[in-house]
Amino acid sequence: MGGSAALSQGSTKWNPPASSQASSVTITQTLSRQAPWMQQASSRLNELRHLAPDWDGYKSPKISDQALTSAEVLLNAINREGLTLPRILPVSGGGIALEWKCGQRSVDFEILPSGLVEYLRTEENSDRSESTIEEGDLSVARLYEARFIIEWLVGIS
Amino acid sequence: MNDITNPRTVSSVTTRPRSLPDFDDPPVVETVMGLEFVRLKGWSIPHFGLLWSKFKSEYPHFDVQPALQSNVDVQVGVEVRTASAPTVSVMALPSLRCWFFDESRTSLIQVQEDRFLHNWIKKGSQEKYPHYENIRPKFEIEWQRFCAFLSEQNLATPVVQHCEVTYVNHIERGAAWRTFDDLADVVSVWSKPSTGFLPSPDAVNLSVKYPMQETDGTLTITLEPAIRHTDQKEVLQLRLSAHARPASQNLEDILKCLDIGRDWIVRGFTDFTSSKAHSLWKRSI
Repeated sequence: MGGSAALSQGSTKWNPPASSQASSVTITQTLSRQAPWMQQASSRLNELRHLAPDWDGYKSPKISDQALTSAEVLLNAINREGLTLPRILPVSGGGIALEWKCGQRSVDFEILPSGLVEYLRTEENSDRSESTIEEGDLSVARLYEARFIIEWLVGIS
Repeated sequence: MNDITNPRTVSSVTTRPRSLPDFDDPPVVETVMGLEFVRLKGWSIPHFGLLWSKFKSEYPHFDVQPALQSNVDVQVGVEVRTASAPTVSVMALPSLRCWFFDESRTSLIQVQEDRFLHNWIKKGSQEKYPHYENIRPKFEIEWQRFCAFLSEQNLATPVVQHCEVTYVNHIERGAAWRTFDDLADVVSVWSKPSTGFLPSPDAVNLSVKYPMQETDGTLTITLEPAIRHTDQKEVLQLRLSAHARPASQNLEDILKCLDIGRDWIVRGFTDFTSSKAHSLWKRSI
């Protein structure tokens, strides 16, 4: 992965500050319901939190706190019904991978030990080959944009 | 001697009124102190860069934002333009606002041709609110530095029309509340339906304006559910914003006007929220 392709936001769903306030929020007026898979995802992250150093037999450090925090923020940003539990895997070096597949489309997030998130969107062609649609990265401050990537995955955008 | 191009002195020291409510763990995540003034004649795009050179050592990061609309029209029932009146505006320059952030991005200066604001922004859940008494001197120094810059550029001293104090509070879902049925546990002016006919609301957007009696100002309180971008947590955003006109153009009166705004916000916040929530935020006075 890598690169820094700008994420197309499609229909922008967040409100830029319209006032003297600088901290950004999305005003929702309604409350979200936690998607059924979120509980399992949280449990899985908790398991990764407790992996001991050298968990892979290749002297990998334990999963970093920054990666765990980014994973939680990412999952909260994505929290939506209709998705299934992603594959959640530890990555050597202290990172985490989250992988979703929905029909022909796949999204892989790799959370680096620093907390930076790299993503890859791919689509399966009719001949079973895979095309890369986009790759890029999201800093911690832009993790809310993960929801737009998932909207593409489930065919909304 | 006071170096007017780099002011480091404050005209007055403010002490916290002893009767003012206080909290050890308040939900405040951002404060704004600001002044709106008559549009500066002669101000133009290059001045943003020249001004930044004065602030850059302490505020090394910048961002460009659209300009804020005037509060004079909407907040003080005097210079109101009616919404239906057709207006034609010829825009000579794009309406811009510049942000200057300090290294930690907890301190922000906002400048536009009719506005000067200073924000404190909470970074991380462990950071403590520094309190108004510590933020106000910083605002005063930066305002004086801004005025000194205008003088250096042969621009007129700003004629302040409005003082603004805003506090943004984030009340996280899960601690004080879980659903809209729990709003009465947070907000004192909200009570449960009296006969139980109404179900739990689907959406909530509360906006209330109070006259600030000793000034011709207004305290606006809004309460809205929101998702905070930094950690994607669901919060109730409780925003209190006081706007008032200073008694004169003296710095002392301008600061006094800000003090009154802060006073209304703290007392208004305490009145607007419940005793149950106060316990959670560790009310000490």
